[in-house]
Order: sequence, then structure tokens, then C-alpha cells
Amino acid sequence: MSVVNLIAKSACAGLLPVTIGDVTLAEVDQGSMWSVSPFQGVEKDCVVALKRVGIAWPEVGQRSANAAWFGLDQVIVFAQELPNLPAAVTDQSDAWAVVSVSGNSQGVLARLVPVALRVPVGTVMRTLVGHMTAHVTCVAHDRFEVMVMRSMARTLVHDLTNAAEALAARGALGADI
Amino acid sequence: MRLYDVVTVPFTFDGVTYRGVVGETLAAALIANGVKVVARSFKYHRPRGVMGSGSEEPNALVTIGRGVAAEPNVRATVQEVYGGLEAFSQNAWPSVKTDVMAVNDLVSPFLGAGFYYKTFMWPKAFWEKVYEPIIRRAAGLGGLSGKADPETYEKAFAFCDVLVIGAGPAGLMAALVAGEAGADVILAEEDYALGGRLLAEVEDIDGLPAMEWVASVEARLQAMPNVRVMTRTSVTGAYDQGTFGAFERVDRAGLKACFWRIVARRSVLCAGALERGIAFANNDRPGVMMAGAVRAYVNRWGVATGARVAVFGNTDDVARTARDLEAAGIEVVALIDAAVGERVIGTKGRHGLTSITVDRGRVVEQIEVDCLAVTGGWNPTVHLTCHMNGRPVWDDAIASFVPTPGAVPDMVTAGACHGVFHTMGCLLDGAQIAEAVVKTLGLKAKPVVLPDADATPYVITPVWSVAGKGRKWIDYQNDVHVKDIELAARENFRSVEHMKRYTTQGMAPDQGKSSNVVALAVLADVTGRGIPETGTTTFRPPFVPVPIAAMGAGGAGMGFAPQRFATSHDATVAAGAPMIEAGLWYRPSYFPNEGEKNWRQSCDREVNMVREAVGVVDVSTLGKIDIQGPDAAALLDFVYSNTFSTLKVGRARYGLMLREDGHVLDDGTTARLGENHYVMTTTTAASGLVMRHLEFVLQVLRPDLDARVISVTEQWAQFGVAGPKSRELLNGLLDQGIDELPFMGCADVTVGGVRARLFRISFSGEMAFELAVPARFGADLYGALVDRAAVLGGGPYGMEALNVLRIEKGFITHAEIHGRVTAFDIGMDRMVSLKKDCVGQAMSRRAGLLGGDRAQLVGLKPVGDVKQLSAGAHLFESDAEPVRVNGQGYITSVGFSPTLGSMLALGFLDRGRARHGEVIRMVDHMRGLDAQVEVCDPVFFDPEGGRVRG
Amino acid sequence: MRINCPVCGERDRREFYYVGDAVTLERPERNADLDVWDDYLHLRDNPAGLTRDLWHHEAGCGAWLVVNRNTVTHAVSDVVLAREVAR
Repeated sequence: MSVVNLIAKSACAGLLPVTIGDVTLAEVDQGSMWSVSPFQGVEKDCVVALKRVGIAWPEVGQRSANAAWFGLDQVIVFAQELPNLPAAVTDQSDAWAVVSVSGNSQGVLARLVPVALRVPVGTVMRTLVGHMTAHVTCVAHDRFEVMVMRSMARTLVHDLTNAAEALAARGALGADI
Repeated sequence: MRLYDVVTVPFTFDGVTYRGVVGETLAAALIANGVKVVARSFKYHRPRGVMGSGSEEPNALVTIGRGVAAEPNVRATVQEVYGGLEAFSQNAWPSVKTDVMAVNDLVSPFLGAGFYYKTFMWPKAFWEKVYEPIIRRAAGLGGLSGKADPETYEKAFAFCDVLVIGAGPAGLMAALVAGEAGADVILAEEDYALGGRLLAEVEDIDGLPAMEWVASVEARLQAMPNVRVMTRTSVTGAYDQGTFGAFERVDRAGLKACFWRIVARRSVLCAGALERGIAFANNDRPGVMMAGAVRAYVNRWGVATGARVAVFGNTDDVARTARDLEAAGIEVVALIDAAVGERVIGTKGRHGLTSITVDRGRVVEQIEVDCLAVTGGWNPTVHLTCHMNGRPVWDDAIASFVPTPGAVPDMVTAGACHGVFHTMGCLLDGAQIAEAVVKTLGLKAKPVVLPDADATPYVITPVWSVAGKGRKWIDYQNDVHVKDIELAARENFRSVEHMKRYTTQGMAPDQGKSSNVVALAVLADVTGRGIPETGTTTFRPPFVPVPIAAMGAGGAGMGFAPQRFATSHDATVAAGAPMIEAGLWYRPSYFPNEGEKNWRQSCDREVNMVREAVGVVDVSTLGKIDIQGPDAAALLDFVYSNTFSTLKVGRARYGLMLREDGHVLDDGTTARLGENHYVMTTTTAASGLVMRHLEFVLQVLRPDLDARVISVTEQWAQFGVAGPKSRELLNGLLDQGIDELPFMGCADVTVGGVRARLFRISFSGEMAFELAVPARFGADLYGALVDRAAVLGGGPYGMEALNVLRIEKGFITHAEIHGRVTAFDIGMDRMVSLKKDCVGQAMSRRAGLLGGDRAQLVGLKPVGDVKQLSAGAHLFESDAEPVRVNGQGYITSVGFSPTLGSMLALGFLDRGRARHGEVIRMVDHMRGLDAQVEVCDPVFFDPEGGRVRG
Repeated sequence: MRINCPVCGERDRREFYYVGDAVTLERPERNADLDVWDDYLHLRDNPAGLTRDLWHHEAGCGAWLVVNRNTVTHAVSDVVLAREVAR
């Protein structure tokens, strides 16, 4: 018997989507996300337990179909429920602003991210976007997903928008770098 | 004067309208329009004209645009012309032709090197107040508007296998070879066009004009997806591990410029060479130009630099210049061959060269000319190879310095900057060097067919300066002439670095690109040393001036730092609350009600509201760290000074965290959610610091501990609900009753079916709870809490009220635990458990950190006529003079307590705990406050804590 | 400056947080003499040449690293996970 009915609001509600030139920024609804950090010496048990429910453990710096490397000793699993695991598990479903950058996404991110972006599809990088720590995933040859702390959603949109606008100005010159 | 008809657009220089060709340099356009004087020199205000044709230009610095968009010190030899361009001369008043400060030139015998150091010594105080402002006004270049720059600048990163710097014959070949071998290549060229010297010379490659070959190579490069050609891009610095800075001038489509960080596995420097002059009397008159620049204006832009031109120099370039001028139909009136001892010994024409005096041994003659092309030879552009401490080495064959191999790791040089001074050699060098470079990357170069090109050997007879009277200018930009260097040597500034600083040789924005080697040669001569022994000064980045605006691109306004907004932000702003920064977060200061005239009224009301009813505050900004694992409890025992392994599941405890040096790092409450599961709260300010500290402990100090720490700060929106009616509010909102939850208890609850965490903790001294829900529900829950609080006579409260509430209770924040206080100082030394090891325990035992003389946390309240207290004020004995040596402590926090009807303060006072009841003196020298205050316990209100337990 | 993180690969210096001498790894015993603690916390060599520092890949994977580098040439010779050294 509930006395209130709480309404959910996404991290980038009211901010996205936007299209600037050939670049589109859109919020990604990742659904449920769990961080999984296996306890010492039992990573294999976690891999097996997750495999049993159809979740493929990602390699370092990679994203699998339903999980992604997330940092030292840490992966993030995209699933509604997790089996019992010999690992530290936390709910991260609400902790992130997730934005997809499509079109000349390499051009936009080259203005904000200090790593080489010509990477295979499925590559996950923990790095910076401007001043923010971020997860940057190459999800298609022309599309990246950027995750920053939820509270920084506006700054992320601001930084991406600025970069995309500069890129669009260059596009008008016939240069696309 | 133009050599052929062209389509032109209007532009202005000092308000006069001229016509130029879109894309040509402003210097070319000014010369085409017969403008001779374009600037005044830095110190003597001598009239100066265009001297060169590239970024090394010392004279032709102008301001582009006006008002806030004005950009000073732009080299006219780099600025491209567009319709409506507005350019202005600098450092001259009322005009560049009649400049009153030119009086400096008349008194120049008194203004030599070191003049300022010697003259303005006395009286000492005059330097800052009188002399320096006058000198600064007299000397100088263009000025800034002093207003915010409205232009858009960019910053960007680029990565490649091979960075080729310079797109002359060597660079083009190197980029071609590396690109065709499959390497990721960036070719960075300073000019707007590829070709390097080929743009300015009349040469054939494979029997066709050289620029046709350049165009064919450019087309091949553009067709390769692995090659990126960046024009208008000067590589400005070589840094560690293959990192380069590069400045790209965009200047179109609303974009001013971009500062690139390029990371390259290998780099090939093909930066070419810079022509140097010869020092002879009055060699700075407008119309005296570098021979290579004269050829560039004639051959590249179809602009004649004069109608009667003489050429003076010591290499085959004398003949080459004469040939090109004659081919363009320009009269060459004299060739002065320095290699056979002929000299120019003087010039005439204040606002433009009218004649030169030539000494050919037997005869001295005066020749009427309006332009003199000068060459003293070429200097390899070694700059980038010196940016990591490399020193170039002298090469007698070309009478100049060449790069030391390996001076920058993974960088090689090719072409003219490698000391190769003809086109054929540059093509070959570029190809061979690139072949070797791609091999080191595990790639194989495709065989290249070298085109056929000019291979005339470079022959030079070094000539540095011409003997005789008159000022022989070396550094045009800083007005340094031969005598200045001689004076420096005479006064024993014989080291090249001392000479540089004494004379300012090479210290102007052009960094002496066209003058340094001549200056060294003159110094070598007067000190009786060879040039190699004399050595060079240090070459430092940036190679060309880079606006700070470009380096800081994106960092202004919202780009300065990320902004963190809590889920309640929109509702808080809508309620009219002024926001204050707390780290990167924005939190409400107070919530003004209708009729309230100032913040104090709002704050007082909010404090009373919490004490009497209920208040709601967003505490999501506090750090929340999830800790799990078999050794979670052991980890907490190690990082906190007190014990957490004994904490019961479902309970929270206040914890004090020390640094290893025994000082307080942070504090907060940590709750035990399960046997091996805790959630730690940190202060807002220290959340990142504490997270890093925990990872440090787990990875560096105690990798034996099997525990994991994960930040969940952003996952949860957490709200404080404080006041005697807080339980009533929550009982009406949660799906479960919470009457059973004890003080310092925690429980899983649900709100409208949403999973939530409830903690019964208090930072106000009232019965209080913190309720956390997944962040997506934060905004809605905040609204529900505020609505329900209003029904109970409460509402939201801000940081001001929160601060007063905690001061009344003597609770500390980082105002108190500011990095120099110990557990002892804040009266918590008993919280440093000796039953176990913890970070900071050993050092907290040091005698100096436990001594009775240390300043200790106290409460303070006004007892005299002055009721005002202020944070930052100093404490003294009541009758002591308020000077530093009598200082006994300071105030850290103040607030007006509506509960007690008085200002209250927390502070640190020497031996303070033993001085409760003593009346002392508080002085704030900044605000002019002087008050009598009574020392008391820091807990002002409800010391028994009855209210918090309910 | 670029540091070759054993987890993430070579990254720009801006992703890393610098701490100081990796002597921090050798924490004294709890009851060690206070002079030993003082030495551990406060006394550092300042070599021109090889140094062994502790860095945190804070804006990356989060690993603490022991970085061997040369303060004269700026060459970074070797980077390893601190916990591998500490074990």
C-alpha cells in the first residue's frame, strides 16, 4: 500500500537529443547496471556463474554483448538480475549519464578525449572527457557511448555541444578534422 | 607594385583602404600597395618595413581587428588577406610615419644595452612607481583590449605513427613514403599551401615547374585515408614521449584557432631553413629585405618589392635573386658580392630606402635603390630538436648549426633543417629518412622513383658584419645592434646566455630566428673564440607565439570546471534559492520566503523550523562508498582511527580518518549493511580524496586485504529530514513504520514501492533521518518531502541554516579539520584506538602532536559591547596587543544562533580546553572587528543530546 | 609526458595523479621507532637520474602504479602495478 508513486527522471532529461551538423547526441537508456568486482582469487567463479545465465565476461578494455570492462578488477553487467556471485556487487543503474555520439563522433571526441579514437568496435576506455573522468566505448565505426557521473550530465552535454559546433563550423569550410 | 593583373578585395591599414588578393599575406598586399613603413621598432621607435616572408618576421607586427576582437602582434607575413580586413600599426603615436617616441632614436647613444639597469637604480623606490611605468609605455608592442575575448578557440588531440613537420620537398617526400608504407601520417605545414621554398623559387622538377610536382604529391597524399594534411599549423614544441604542441590558425567560419596536442610514435622534422642577414650600418631601413623574401614576393605573389633593386650577399642566392627579378622585369641596379669582399657600408632614406653606399675595395659609390635584398646564408631550423635540452652542433660546410642526432627521442631530421641545401638533396633525404623510420615501425616502404631536381651545391663565404661606423642592426625586433653585443662582452657578459639577457638579443616574440646566429658570430669575434665554443642560447617552446586563449580553449565560463547538480537542483532554483559552490557541486544557500529582506532572516527562520518542526536538505553531495568483502571490516579498522569491526549490522557509527602523518583527513558515518558489507559517508569536499585513499590502502599498503571499494555517490539521491517532526513526516511517506529505528540505526525501506535506504543520523542535534533512493527518483522524492514538511510547519533549508545548526552543536567540518589539526586538537584523541593498527596511529603519538601547548577546539561567544564575530579572526589574551607574536589562536566558523540569540563561533585556542570561562580578545584586522569573547565548550546547545534521541 | 599503464596502455600525464617516492610502499611496523616513521613519511632523496615514483591512474582504470623514470632524460623505463610490488 503505497502513499506515493515516485516518478523516474533520466540523467539527461530535457537536455537531449540534439543534432548539430552531422553529429547527433542522444541519451542511452542502459536499463539495469551492476558493478561486479570479484573477490581475490575467485574471478573464474564469477565468470562461470555469469556465463550460466548468459552473461559473457568482458576482456580488459572490451565490451561484450551484456557486460563491459569498467576499471581495475571491475566490470559492469547490463542485466535485470544477477545470480549470487563471490564478488562485490553494487547497483549502478542510476549513477551515470550515458550519451551516444554519432556521426563524426571521432571528430567531436578528439576535442575532448586525450586518447586515440581509431579503435576497434567494442573498445572501452576509462579516460577523460574534458575535465570529467569518463568511460568511452566505441560501439560502431561512427558511434561512441560516453558515460560520466550522473551529476555532470549538463557539463557533458555542454562540452559535447561546443565541440560539435566547432566541428560543424569546420564542416562548412569543407574540412572535417 | 603588382607584376600582373589580379582580382582584389578592399582592406584597410591604419584606416587607409587598399586592395589585396584574397589569401595572399597582408605583407604581400602592403608591398603591392607601396606601403613601406609598417611598424615602429620596440625601443628606438625606428620606422620599419617588411623584412621576411614567413613566421620568423621580426618587423611587420600589426594588430588585426578592433575593439574586443582586436588581436595584437600578428605577423603581417602570416596573416591572410580577406575582404574587409582591418589592420593597424603598433607602438607608434600619432602615426606610424610620425611617431613622437622616435625621440628615443635621437638619444640612442645613451640607451644602449644595460642602460635601464644602470640608470634607474636610484632612488630605489622610484623603479616601481616612476621609471618602470614610463619605460613600459615607451617600449612595447600591441596591446590587449582588457575585455573578454569573444573569439572561439579550440583544443584537440591527434595521434599518428609518423608526424612530418614541414611540407617542403623533404617533408612531402617523407610523408609520401611513410603514407604509402601504410603508416598513420600527419603532415603539419605552417603555411597555407604545401611546397615550402618551392613556393617561392623558380625551379623545375622532372622538367616541369616545381609546383606542378607539389600539386601531384598533394593529390596523392590527400587520396590516402591514413594521411592527414594539416596546413596553417605550426608545430610549436616537442615534449616528452612523442608529444607535440601545434597551433593551427583557422580564422574562418567563426573559429579563430586550434591548439593541438599531437602524439606521434615517430617524427620527421623537415622544418627547412631560415635566412639570416648581414649586420651593416643602417641595415634596418624599410626596403632592406631578406633576399629569399624578395624572391617569394616576386615569384609566389607577383609583387615587386621595389623598382630599383640591389642584391647583397655571400652565396649563389645573389645571382639567383637577380635572375628572378630580371625575369620579372624588375631593374637590378647592383650586385654586391660579399664573398669577394664587396660590402654595403651605409643606407639612406628614413621612411624608405633611397640609396646605399657600396664599398668595392678601390671604389666607394652611392647607388640609388628603393630595395636591397640581403642574404647572409641559411640557418637550419633546428628549434624543435632543442626543446628537450638538445644543443645543435656547428657545421663548417654550411657555416651554421645543425641538429644533434637523437636530441629528441624518436625524432629524425631531413632536408634543409638537416643541413641539406638543394632540392634534389632534400627529396632524397626525405625519402631515405622516411624509409628508415617506417622500418622501425615494422613497415616496409614501397620503392620510390626520385624525381630529378636542382642539385647545385651550396657554397658560402661567411660574412657576419661589416666594419665601420653606424648602427649595424642584428635583432630588429628588440633593437639590438653590434655595439650592444660588443658592450656586453666588454662588461664581461661573455657567456652567450649572459649576453642574451644583457642585450635582450633574441628575447622578442620572434626569438631571434633571423638574428641569433649573427649575434653569436659577433660575440665569438669580440671574445676571440670560435662560434662552436661560443655556443647557442637555449631554444624553448613555443616555436611561434601561441595565444593563451588557444591553450586554454574551452576553459572559460562553463568549461572551467565540471558542474555537479543534485537531483533537487531544478526545484531548488525554482524556489529562488541562491546557489553556492561546494567543491564542484551547487547547493542552496537559503530559501527566501516572501517578505524576508535578507539572508539572515531566511536562515534564522530555517534554523527555528528545524529545531521546532522539520526541515529537508539534499545531502546527495556527500561521498558514499560501498565496501564489500571478507576483509571489509578489517579495512575499515585500518583506515578509521576507531573500530568498525564491532559495529552491529543495521547500525551506523561516526568515524575519524587520519592521514599517515597523524593529522585528520576526514570524518563521516559508516553503516554496516551486512556482515561483509558497509557503506561509508565522506564529506562533500573530501569524497574524491577518500576514495583515492581507500584505493591506495588496498593496492599499496594492504593488498592482503580482500575487500572492494566502489563509489555509489551518484547512484543514490539522499535527503536529510531533521527536526522533532521528522519521524512523523517519514511515517506518512514510507511504506513501513519507522518507530523502532534507533538513533544510529539503518534499515532497508521502500517509498511507493521503490527500494530505499534509511539512516537515523543527525548533523543538527535534532532527531533526524537520511533517506536514500535511486537517483532517478530523487527529483520526485525531494518534491514529496518538501510538500509534506510544509504540511507539518517545516520546509527546505539551505547551507547557511545547516551551518548554524551544526555550530550550535559543535559539530566540525573541513573549516575545522583543515589539514593541520590532530584528533587531540579536536578533543577526539580517545577515538584513536590503540587496540589495532590504523593509518596515522603511529605518528599521532608524536609528542608534538599531543602537547599541552597545542591550539584546541573551543566554542566562543561575545560577552562585550561588540556582538559581531568573524571567521578568520585571531585570538589574544584580553589585554594583549593584537599583533602576531601575541596570537593564541583563530576562529574557523561563525554563525548567528537564533536558538541562543547570539553569535557563536568555533575556533582553536592554545590550551583551550583548560580555559573555558576565560574572557579573551578577538580581532579581525581585515574587517576592523575587536570583540571580547568568552571561551566555552564547543557544544553550545543540548549538550546531553536528549533531542537527537527523541 | 606519457605513462604506459599496464592495464590501459600508454596514456597522457593528465590522467594520472602523482604522489611521490615509491618508498611509501615500505610502511614501517606499527610500533617502529618514531624516527623510522619520520624517515618514511618526510625524508626524501632528490636524485638527478633514476627515480621510482608512485602514481595513481585516477582518470583511468584506478590502478596505483610504480613508475621508474629518469628525471634527467625524462625517459619512463618501467611501469608496474603497485600491488604486484607490494605483495
